[in-house]
Amino acid sequence: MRTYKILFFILTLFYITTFDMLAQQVKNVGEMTKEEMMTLTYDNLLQMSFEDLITAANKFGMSADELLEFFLNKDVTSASKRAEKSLNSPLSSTVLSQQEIENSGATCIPEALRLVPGVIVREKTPGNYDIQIRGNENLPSKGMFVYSENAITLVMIDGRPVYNYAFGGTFWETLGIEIADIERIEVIRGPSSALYGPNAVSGAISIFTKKVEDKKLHVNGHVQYGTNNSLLGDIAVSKGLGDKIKVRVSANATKLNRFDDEFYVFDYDSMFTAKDMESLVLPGETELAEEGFNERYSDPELATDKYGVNAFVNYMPTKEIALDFATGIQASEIVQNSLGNHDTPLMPRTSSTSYVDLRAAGYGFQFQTNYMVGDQDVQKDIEGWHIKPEVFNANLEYEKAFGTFVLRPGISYQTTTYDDSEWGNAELRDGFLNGAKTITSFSGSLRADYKLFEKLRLIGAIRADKYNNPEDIYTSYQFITSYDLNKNNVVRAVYSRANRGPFISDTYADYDWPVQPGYNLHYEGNKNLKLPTMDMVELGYRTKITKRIMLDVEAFYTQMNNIIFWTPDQFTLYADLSPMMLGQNPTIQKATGHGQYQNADMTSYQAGITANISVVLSEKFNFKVFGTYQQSRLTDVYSRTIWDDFNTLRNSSTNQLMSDVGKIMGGDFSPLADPTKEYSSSINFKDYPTEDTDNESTPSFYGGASVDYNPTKKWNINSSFYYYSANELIHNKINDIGRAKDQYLLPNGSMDSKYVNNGRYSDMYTVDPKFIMNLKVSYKFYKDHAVFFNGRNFLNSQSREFGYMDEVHGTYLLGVNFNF
Amino acid sequence: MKKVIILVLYLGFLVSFTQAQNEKFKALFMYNFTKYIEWPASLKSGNFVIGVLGNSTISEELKVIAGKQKVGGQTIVVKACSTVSEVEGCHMLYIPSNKSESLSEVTAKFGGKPLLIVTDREGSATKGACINFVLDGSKLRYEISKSNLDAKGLGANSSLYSLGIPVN
Repeated sequence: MRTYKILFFILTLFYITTFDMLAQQVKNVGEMTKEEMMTLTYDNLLQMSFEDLITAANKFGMSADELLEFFLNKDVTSASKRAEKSLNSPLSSTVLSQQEIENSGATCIPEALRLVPGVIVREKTPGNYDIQIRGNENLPSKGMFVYSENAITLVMIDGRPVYNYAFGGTFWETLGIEIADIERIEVIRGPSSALYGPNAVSGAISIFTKKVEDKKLHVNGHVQYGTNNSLLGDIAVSKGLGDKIKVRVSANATKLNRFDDEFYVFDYDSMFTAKDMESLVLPGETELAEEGFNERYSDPELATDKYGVNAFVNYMPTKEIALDFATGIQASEIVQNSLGNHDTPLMPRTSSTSYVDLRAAGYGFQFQTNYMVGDQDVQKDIEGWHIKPEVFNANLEYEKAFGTFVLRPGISYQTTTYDDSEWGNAELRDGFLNGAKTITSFSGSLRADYKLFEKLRLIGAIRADKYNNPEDIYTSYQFITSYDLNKNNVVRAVYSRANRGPFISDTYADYDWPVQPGYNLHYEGNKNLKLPTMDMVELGYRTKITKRIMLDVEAFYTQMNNIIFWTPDQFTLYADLSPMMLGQNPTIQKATGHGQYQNADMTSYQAGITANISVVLSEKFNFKVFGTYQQSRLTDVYSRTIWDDFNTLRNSSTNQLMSDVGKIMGGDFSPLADPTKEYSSSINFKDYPTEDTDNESTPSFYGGASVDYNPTKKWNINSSFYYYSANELIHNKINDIGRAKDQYLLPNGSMDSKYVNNGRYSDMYTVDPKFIMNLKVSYKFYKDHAVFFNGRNFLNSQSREFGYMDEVHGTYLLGVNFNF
Repeated sequence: MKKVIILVLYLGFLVSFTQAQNEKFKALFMYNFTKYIEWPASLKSGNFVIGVLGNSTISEELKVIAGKQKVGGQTIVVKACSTVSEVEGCHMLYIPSNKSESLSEVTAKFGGKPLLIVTDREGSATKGACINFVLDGSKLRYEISKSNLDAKGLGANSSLYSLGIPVN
């Protein structure tokens, strides 16, 4: 309902502002970028002063070279935190421009990442995606979904990190901004903490919001509606106030539904309707498994329901100083994978957050500070997961050039607090954290950039992070050498190390987990963990093969250590033997256990190669093709699940009990001297043999292509393709059910009856290769207003994209794009 | 063979695309010249006629401008002139580079008359052209000859000289 209200608001705003249209006046041409040039109409050119026209003519369209420059060599800011052309940027990076994203018809930011080489994008449920740069997520396997929340990529909006520090990962639906707010997205591949901060382990995704260019009032927006009741809309109003201030206000709303209407239950390895879920009882239990299912899934068909409102103000008091202020709110409810241990793989998650962000730049200084606060129920209505996040960042950098040597020191401070005290009872420890827990970090960084002989560029960056917990100082670094073989060819070599920051859950979890009636386990964090760290060596080569073709190849090798996982280590059975004196069975009073976050011994090795070719045939037609081939291997893997560990612990304690029982029954009454017993056992995962395996959770090959064609100025036809090869995600709920089919084959060639009974869904964790084609056709019917057809997964390939998640079918939308 | 044909076709496409962009801006420049140049009072009424000698894609671009803009209060008319004599009555004449050899014939026939001659060939400004387009690397610029403008009784605002490259 809320989404419809927002869309009504958007449409009302649209009608109101249509009465306030002014002819687009030409702004200062000298300040325009080439993209803005491209949007100038003939009328703009006619109305310009001759001086401006000469400037425009010389910036744009006078030679094919200029045009190709524009398409192939977009400005990349992040790679060295200074604007520079793609060809020369020293890191493996890709820039997606606003036009490219808009033409592709991507319905949200994660989906747009399917246009970027080296990124694995899989849709879990409609509108909710798993994003990995190169791979290395979901480790260790046979874990809970918590390990698959994209925890090792840093996502930033205008330099502000948007990252969930409670359980790690990016809650993409909580960003608050959408495609319409974006000017460009820069994706950096490879460990980049030295340049961006912790969690840029596999890379960084830097989103830049639109800049207001001219003083005139502009209203832009889209509305699209399609199959499966999909509805998306956005509207933005921008204007200059005086000569120095520019304001932009935007709002967006998205509502998408699931394609599956049933729910998978691990223990039954079957699908159940929402009605059946309400009365679901797990094998061997008597209580309802999904108490409160109705309230939690108020709409069992919902996949994504989100909206955001943002305001951006840019103020330039002088030409040298730029101040940017941004603020916004978002609210969302989505359904995707459950984070903790749950009977079903799906779980709703709600969030409502707001932020303020201030940036000031001038005279070589760059300062940024931001604050975010909100309310997130990470596993809706499940005890212990409702938290209030609060994040504050402040950082300052200064850049000074000494000829071709540039130095950029910086300091930063971050504090993150997650508080669940409002929803839990701290004494009972029924909340995950049971109070407000804080992680703070102080960091210092230094970057040096030296260009020798105009061809050789050496970049070194080093960063030290000091957290409150764990107490060590973590250093990350990056060394890059880039050499211009000639004007059109650049080679580079990179060596870098980056670490993931600590998460609140890993560090502070303090939860009393009622595993079963009578059995409570203390789920504990660990303040002394070593942080996951990745080392990488990479070689890259970029070449402009011809004026119209650019080829980019990078070969990388990474090693990741200190992967963190939670493992049980202790179990105590409390029994009272005294009933045995009366010839009865001993009483089991209760059981307690303990488990803690630890560093796994395992190491993840990955080697791969990514290539991208971009071709600009003309102003009307361009395309690109890209792909990554990789192999990952894991060594020293602890391959038992937590259920294996619980069983071992329980059996060990039970054996101790049975040993006493045996004694008594055999006539030795010594145990009865002190009849209340505690039978404790413990295990250490390090005592078990490990195995080395290939990592099947990352597809060996993934890539895509995109083709953009403007037959006339009014028409745009864009088709994009995305492909990934087979992969799997094994959840710790795997016991007998759900093993691969061949494990059910009996020696005589027939199938074990267990498989036959549960057969249909025992492959829930294997993901078949999938080829996705998208098609968007857009027609400008009047000035800059367009109607469009947008087909996502146009060929309607229906398979699941992520282990245990929903099927994702094609969605076909019609929409309108208005620009005043 | 197929590959060569495709290569040739797409190179041709690319070349024609580049030219199209050039012509658009030249036409826009020509329109702007009219804002800085003063024609005699007798020519300020009726249509403002821009002649194009021979065939040139610039005619199309000029026609687009003609449909949208006026010179002072005068409607712009684009006249295709296949011979030099047809140039009679034009306020402005564009001589494409492939017709440059006709420049001397034009100057002979229209000598002191207030006809703004715009050319597109190196050296034309010294041979009687008032304004001559040149490419400075990939930038479009124009040479402007004060003596030729004066000889034709056409006054030009000083900005036009400073925005261009003054010659003789």
